[in-house]
Amino acid sequence: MHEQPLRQWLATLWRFIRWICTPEICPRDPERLLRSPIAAFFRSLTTRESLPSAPPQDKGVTVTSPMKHTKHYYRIAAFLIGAIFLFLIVRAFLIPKSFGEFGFYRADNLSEQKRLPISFAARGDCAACHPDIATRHQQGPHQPVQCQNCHAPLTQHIAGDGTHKAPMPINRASALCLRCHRALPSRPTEFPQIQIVEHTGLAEHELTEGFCIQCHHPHDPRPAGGKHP
Amino acid sequence: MTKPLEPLTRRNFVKKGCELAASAVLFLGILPMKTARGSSMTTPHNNDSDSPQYDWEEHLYAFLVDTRKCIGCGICVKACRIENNVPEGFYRTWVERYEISERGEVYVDSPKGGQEGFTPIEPGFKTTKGFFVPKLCNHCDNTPCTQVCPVGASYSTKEGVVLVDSKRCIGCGYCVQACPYASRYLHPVTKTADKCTWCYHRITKGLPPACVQACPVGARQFGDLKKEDDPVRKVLATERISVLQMEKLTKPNCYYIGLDKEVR
Repeated sequence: MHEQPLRQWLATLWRFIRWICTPEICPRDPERLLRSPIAAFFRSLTTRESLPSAPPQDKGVTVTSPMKHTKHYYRIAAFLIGAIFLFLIVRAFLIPKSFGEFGFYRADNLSEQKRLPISFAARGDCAACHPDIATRHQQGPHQPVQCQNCHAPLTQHIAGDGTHKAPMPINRASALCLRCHRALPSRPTEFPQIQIVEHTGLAEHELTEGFCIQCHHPHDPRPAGGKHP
Repeated sequence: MTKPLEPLTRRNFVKKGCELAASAVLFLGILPMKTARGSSMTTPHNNDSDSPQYDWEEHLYAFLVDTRKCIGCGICVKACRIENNVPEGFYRTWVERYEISERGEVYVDSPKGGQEGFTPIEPGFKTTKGFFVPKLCNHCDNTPCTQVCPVGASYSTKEGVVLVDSKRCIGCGYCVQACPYASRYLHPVTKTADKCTWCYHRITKGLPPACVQACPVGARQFGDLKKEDDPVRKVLATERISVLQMEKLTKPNCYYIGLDKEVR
């Protein structure tokens, strides 16, 4: 996917370098290749003095070599080549290995995201150790409320290897019940809500901890008599 | 034209040798970059030991919010915070309360994102219409957020989930500003962009997102549109649904039932 553009890019670069290094000379010239600055450049790698220099000047005659100014080209070309190599190397270090595998992002991040720890276990997992509570809970109107909502994530209670980690917190506060059942005009009217003062005769701040669960067991909140007082 | 070769002295031999070695190193330096890209295509390692059977080609996720069912308990916000270690004061998901009068006066609030539930308020008018709207990242198909990321830290997966690579993110905050749904924030500790992932670590193991699992009334539902008998897919196919800020043409993958015109 990414190999093709790189190859094209290198080809373009190569053409550009060749264009920089080739002076305008007659294409039919049989010695063109030998005289070309590229050839001179490679000669210069093997022989120190091959860089073109002005020939010794005779009296009254000025001989200008076609190669006279080409050493500037070598500098540009050498600088370009060096810069490009530097760019490629820095690029190879900066761009993460899996970048671009599936798109303009680091593909390894997908597995990193997947490996993040899970806090809330699946809904039915509590029933493995607490079947009695689970059965009662499943029969009551609180059946859609998962255990971990009112208690805590199961992973705080049970470690990954199944061993007991910490006791599950039990929240008896009335505020927890009112979170869902306090009457609000925005709640769906069919949802069971209580006007606190009418229902208890007390103001909300007067409800002590454990007040609601005197009559309503959270696992099956239907009052024992089957009717509200 | 050609000049005779310089005699090969020891000094020259060492010099040329060094030059050759340097060129070879430079050349070899670019090779691993090319091979790494070429070979990885054949073995997609988007499978890891935790979920070996998971193939992202087999899923296309969608989120459904039924605002008619939401009771505003805010358990979802709390569950999201616990599941994803969302810092206090920042929200990957939140619940908004709307109270509207007969004359069209509107009161909107979301105290602490709704994570402690809602208490009665005095909006200053007689509320005739009220509802809650849970919000989260819409995981758009046309993502305004990933387009602006200058380093490729934010991206869409093939299942339609928009994720942030916190190792890659430089925290410039462009995506936070680009999102019309205000779904993103800069994490105060890592200083990188953070957002709802639809609990990517859960859904890739077959578990629903934490907020969906926590919702006691089924106001939040998560579905896989590539499954034949998916309930969300059925709702999308048969019921009247809408999305937030449709005029932005972001093609959200969070669908809403029962949206009011006041909801943005």
